[in-house]
Amino acid sequence: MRLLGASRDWTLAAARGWDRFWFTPQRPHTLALIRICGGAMLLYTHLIWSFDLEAFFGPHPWLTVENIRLMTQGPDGRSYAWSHLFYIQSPALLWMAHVAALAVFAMLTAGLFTRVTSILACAITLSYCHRATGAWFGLDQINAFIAMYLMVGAAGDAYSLDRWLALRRGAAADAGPRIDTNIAVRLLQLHMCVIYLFGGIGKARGESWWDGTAMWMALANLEYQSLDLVWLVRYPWLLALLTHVTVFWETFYCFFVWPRLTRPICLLLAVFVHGGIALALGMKTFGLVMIIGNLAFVYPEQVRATIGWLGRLIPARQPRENAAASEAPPLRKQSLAAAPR
Amino acid sequence: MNGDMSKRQAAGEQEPLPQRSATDSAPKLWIKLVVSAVLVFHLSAVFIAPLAFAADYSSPLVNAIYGVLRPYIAAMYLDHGYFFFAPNPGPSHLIDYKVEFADGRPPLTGRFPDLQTERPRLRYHRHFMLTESLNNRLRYPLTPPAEPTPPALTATAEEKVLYQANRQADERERASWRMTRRQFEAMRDSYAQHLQALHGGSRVTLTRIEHVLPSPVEVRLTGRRLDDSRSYVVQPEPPRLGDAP
Repeated sequence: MRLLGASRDWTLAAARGWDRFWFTPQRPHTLALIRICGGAMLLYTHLIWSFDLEAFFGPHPWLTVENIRLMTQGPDGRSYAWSHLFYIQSPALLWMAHVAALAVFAMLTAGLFTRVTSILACAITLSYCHRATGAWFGLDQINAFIAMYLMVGAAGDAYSLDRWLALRRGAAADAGPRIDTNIAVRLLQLHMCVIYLFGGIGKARGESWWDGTAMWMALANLEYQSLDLVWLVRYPWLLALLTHVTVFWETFYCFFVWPRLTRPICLLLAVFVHGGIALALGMKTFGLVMIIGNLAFVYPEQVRATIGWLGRLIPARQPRENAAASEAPPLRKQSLAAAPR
Repeated sequence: MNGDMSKRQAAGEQEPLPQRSATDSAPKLWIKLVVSAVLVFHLSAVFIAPLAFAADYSSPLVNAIYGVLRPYIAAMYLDHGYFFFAPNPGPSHLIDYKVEFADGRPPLTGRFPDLQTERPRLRYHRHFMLTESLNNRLRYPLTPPAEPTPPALTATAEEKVLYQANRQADERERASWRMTRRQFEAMRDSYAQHLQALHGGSRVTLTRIEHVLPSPVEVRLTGRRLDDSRSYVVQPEPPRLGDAP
């Protein structure tokens, strides 16, 4: 009987934990910041496709649609890759679709008609990713899931044209917390944990991550290199330290990012590692998009306070009436305590 | 309402933070259950794709779950291993090309990726991934794996059973090898056709190059440069699938 009671208590506690984790309303500021940064990255990523649009997606592309279908076949011989670009043959139509896609990403970044543009942005991003099989890398993987989760929550509820328009219509200065926003942020957090866990597991299978030379192998790769750090070869212990810190941080990120005590350290290391990739390994976009993904672990109250502080640094030239409306009210202890962790 | 708000704002009053919007009263239990089921489904897909990759698609349990979820995983672009710079950061791969013209013009040569012409950096990286993807689809050995030797006529029943089991596993391995080789050939041909169409040539030849990484000891003791010409190694082209024994 005692065992039965303990099991029931445990199940109830687990159910309450699940309920609290997923169904506690969250303020929109974190997701809105991710929308701005992630939307800008989506816009930039797709803007760069403009240089080679026909070379990659046109009538004589690097990889034909038949190639893509072949490359994405599973063991059962079926491909589930899909893209509107599979069906566009005419360069004029291709350019029209591309310009429309860029407009959608710009609207998402600005937070205009966010509910609609976030869904469109996700569909377009996945569509380009499927079509660009063979040319994609980590950036596209992260772009895709950021776009996916932006459409889950109310990403336009703060720092957006939607919010500005709502204010003009007389809405409250601050949109309230929402459950869908919390779910979106939770999904982003868990997806980041999965990425780092398997990144760490993958590295743990390579001997260079154990003998401390992996960092050298990355830095000495001329095709990646954007900052000459070959001089580090004189300090093998430093290369080994960077190697070991990277693999341990990645593997255990999924544990240490949750407690309040270790979260700042985890996020600081993320900025350090991905900043390093951006500066030294020629992948500014990938490094930045990983940092954007890590924003999911910054509390909305902190985002709000930081952006409010940044806003106050800019000399206000707006009329007093508007200034009062945009000023962030002080945070209340109750709201901080209720914020999901 | 607008007027009220404007008056408050003009007076410097601050809007209180709403604790909960009207639309977010606690959802009914059945809604939570449905949402939870969707979340479990999605997160299973997020987790199982890199797990199957890490397990090299060898675990029967993981493969079974992956097989069920694969349509969703693939369609939602979740089919990734996230093995960034893993298991080891390796050498880079480049492609040299030569376009020949039927009208007697001198051949055109080039290399991709090319940091000088492909700017900004993201453009360069797209071309870099083309060469890396091609290399990733080259499975070794370059010729099809040999079939297992049949058991001798005097073999025991147990040996014959084991041979049949090994043969089935071997056949799956060969089918996988043939698939990746087909992909490799299709990609390589597609690159050549693209360059031919781009430059209006009559024939294109591709040469795959591996840029080998120098060891720290080589660099420290001999001062070897990263762009040392000896570190660019021409890769042997495998026989076409039709020509393979």
